[in-house]
Amino acid sequence: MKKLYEIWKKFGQNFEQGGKLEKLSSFYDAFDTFLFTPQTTAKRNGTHIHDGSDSKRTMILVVMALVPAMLFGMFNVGYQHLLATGQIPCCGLTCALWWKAFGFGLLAVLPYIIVAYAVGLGIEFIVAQIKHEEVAEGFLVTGFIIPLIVPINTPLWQVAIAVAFAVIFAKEVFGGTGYNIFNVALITRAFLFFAYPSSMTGDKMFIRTEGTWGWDGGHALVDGFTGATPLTQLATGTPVAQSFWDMANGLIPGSVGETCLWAILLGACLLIATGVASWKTMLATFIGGGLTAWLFNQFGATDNLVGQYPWYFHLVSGGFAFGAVFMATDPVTSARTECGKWIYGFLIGLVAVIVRVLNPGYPEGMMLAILLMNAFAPLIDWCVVQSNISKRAKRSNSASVKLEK
Amino acid sequence: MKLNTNSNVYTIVYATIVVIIVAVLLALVSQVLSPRQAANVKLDQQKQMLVALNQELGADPAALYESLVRDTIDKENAKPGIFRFEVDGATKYVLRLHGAGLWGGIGGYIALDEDKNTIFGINFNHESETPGLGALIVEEPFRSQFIGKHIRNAENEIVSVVVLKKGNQAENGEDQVDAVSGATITSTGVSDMLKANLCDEYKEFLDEGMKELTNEGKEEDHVESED
Amino acid sequence: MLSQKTKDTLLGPLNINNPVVVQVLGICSALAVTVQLKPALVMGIAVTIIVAMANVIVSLIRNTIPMRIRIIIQLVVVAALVTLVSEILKAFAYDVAMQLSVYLGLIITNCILMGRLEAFAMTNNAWDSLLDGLGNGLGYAIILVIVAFFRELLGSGALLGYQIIPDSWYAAGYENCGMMMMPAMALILVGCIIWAHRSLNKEEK
Repeated sequence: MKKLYEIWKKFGQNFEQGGKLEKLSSFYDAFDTFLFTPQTTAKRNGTHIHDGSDSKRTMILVVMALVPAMLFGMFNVGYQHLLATGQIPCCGLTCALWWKAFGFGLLAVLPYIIVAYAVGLGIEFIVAQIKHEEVAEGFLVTGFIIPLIVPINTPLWQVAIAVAFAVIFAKEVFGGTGYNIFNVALITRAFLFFAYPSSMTGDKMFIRTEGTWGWDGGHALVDGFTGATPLTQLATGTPVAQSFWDMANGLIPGSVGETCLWAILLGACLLIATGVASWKTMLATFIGGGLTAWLFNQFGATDNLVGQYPWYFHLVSGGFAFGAVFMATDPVTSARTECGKWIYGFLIGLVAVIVRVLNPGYPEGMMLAILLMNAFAPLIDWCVVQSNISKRAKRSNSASVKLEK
Repeated sequence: MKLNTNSNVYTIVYATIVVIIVAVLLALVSQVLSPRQAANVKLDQQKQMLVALNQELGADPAALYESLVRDTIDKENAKPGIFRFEVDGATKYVLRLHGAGLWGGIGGYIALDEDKNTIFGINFNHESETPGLGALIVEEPFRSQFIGKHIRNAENEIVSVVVLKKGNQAENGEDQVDAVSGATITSTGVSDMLKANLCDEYKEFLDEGMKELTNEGKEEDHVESED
Repeated sequence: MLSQKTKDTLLGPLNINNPVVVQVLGICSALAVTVQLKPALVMGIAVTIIVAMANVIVSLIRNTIPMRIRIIIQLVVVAALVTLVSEILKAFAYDVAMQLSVYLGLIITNCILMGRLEAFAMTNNAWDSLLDGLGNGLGYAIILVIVAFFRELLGSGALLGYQIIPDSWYAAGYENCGMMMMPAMALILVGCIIWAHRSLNKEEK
């Protein structure tokens, strides 16, 4: 390992000032800090906290937390494909079919991962060269989340355009990683959703019925096949076919990473245990969504199928859990004050359910809710800070009044 | 003499004069142009009806309309609007439709054959449906699906035509067309509009014949009768 | 032929002093009428004519206007002109008038108009005011046309209603970008134009 590091450092001399590849120094720097923990620490005068953890290490943790959802998602893509094409026998999956499902899903999802990273990192590298800055690490997570939240039948060129749009207009124009107002991965999805509505809506968008790279295509669909997600079924007035446990287990149509509650909770545990994401935001989102849905259940909305949908169903269907755990907690775009996190999360859950229930055009409200609250997060923080300031001012005033007496 | 432009009297007189000049000018223009504008509104409706009748608009839609139309009941762009045409020797009825889509109103014209059952053609317009989704109802692929469908069932009752998601089956066996995929609400709106207009609004006309039309004072050599 | 000052009055607003991308005025209508090229062109021409005429009229009567009601008088002049243009369009270009719908009437509230009247026509002679009005109207029109060009090309695959993107592209899976049809995209395009404009002019200085 040490030997390897020395070779790498020697190679790095090419990139230093005056070296042959000076122009590309940010490339080297990006890989250097990605592969090895930086060896430089603060000078030993004054008080500093020394820790090897930097934002690249944090990002890797988030990616690791996403891995269960990704693996399950891949399997589910293949499983739904086999189901739709009638290849699954009634007695359940055999071992061979299990591997076929996973292999199919892997091949189907892989191009999205590659395209998301290639386009996103490409733009990041170019911008870093132009601005003579280091390549920021923010896209490591974004690029991993994007394949998880786009429907599996989205054309790749559309994903490429959406990623480019999101990285340039939601991130770089605001100043790059750490300065963006909106969650970049969600902007990608929102762009796809609004720019190419005909590929992004309908029954079949969540299920790969064709083959992947020419493999396993050409199967006829089973009779009465419908690929509608539970929320789409509700929005179009058909009763939901899936039970609560179906949705928690996740073998249902949906975006790649959002279907399985357990995989998402596994990731949530890792994020909370390592302190990367705030449990307050997550919990508040679930409370807000559950409470709002419960209110809709109790009062009114008798003619509204989505409104009658039991509150605990809301929490496991669609992208609610995925959004609450991985998107709402994005440290850059969420509220930063502790009290603000409760308000921010609660409002996300509330808005998400309201959109689902009251807007017939959008069956899923999580994306819009998080983006909306992204815009309000700074305001929430400001209010929390201000109220704290005035509270303390009052306390110190009354204290000084007492002293004067 | 130097006027004090800031005195109260001057201000009031000045404002009055400006307003009078402007009012007279605008009233004049409006008077001169209003026949032309009314003609435009009418022409627009005529064009929409011609599209519903599957006619090529050509260079002079107004003349084409005049050559085809036989009889009308038209109450100022409101319901009911019933028109009788003669296309290639066959009688066609055109009915004006009004309804609601996802974001705003939708409307259109439906052309029926002489049996008041078979759809000869249809045309839709909308105020603000989503471009690329709901707005596709005005496009040819969606409209042409209606041609040849029947608005009555086997018992000769008016049941309209339903717009349904591809693959679904109409409950009561009505004729059906495929919805615009991804535009469920707009498609349902079209379906509801047809049902409300045909089954209620124009029921009397569809069941009774052209009696109303002939009462309008136009002399008609043949009175449509229910078969 | 033209003195430097008249040149600046006429051509300044087209580039260095553009009302839309530099002063960021008249954005609202720029969002609404730029889905297609044709209404954008008509809107640009309509605004140009109205600004120029309003400028001239207000400039001619500028010394008689009572200061206390000058904004009202300006508004009346603009409103009269807008109503005129809208009536004429309804009579002679019905389709376009329908597409422009309420936005034609909203020219009255277009910030460029009130801005030019108050800032320029009230203190300058009729000839300069005419040039200023033409320049600002055209500066507005240029931006509108650029935005509408991209929105119609990428959003509907057409220009002035004629299909540009060949059918073979659609057959190969190409799709028009629905985002371009939304007002939000016009803002982003205006933002891009401002971006390009600033970077170009920085080098000049």
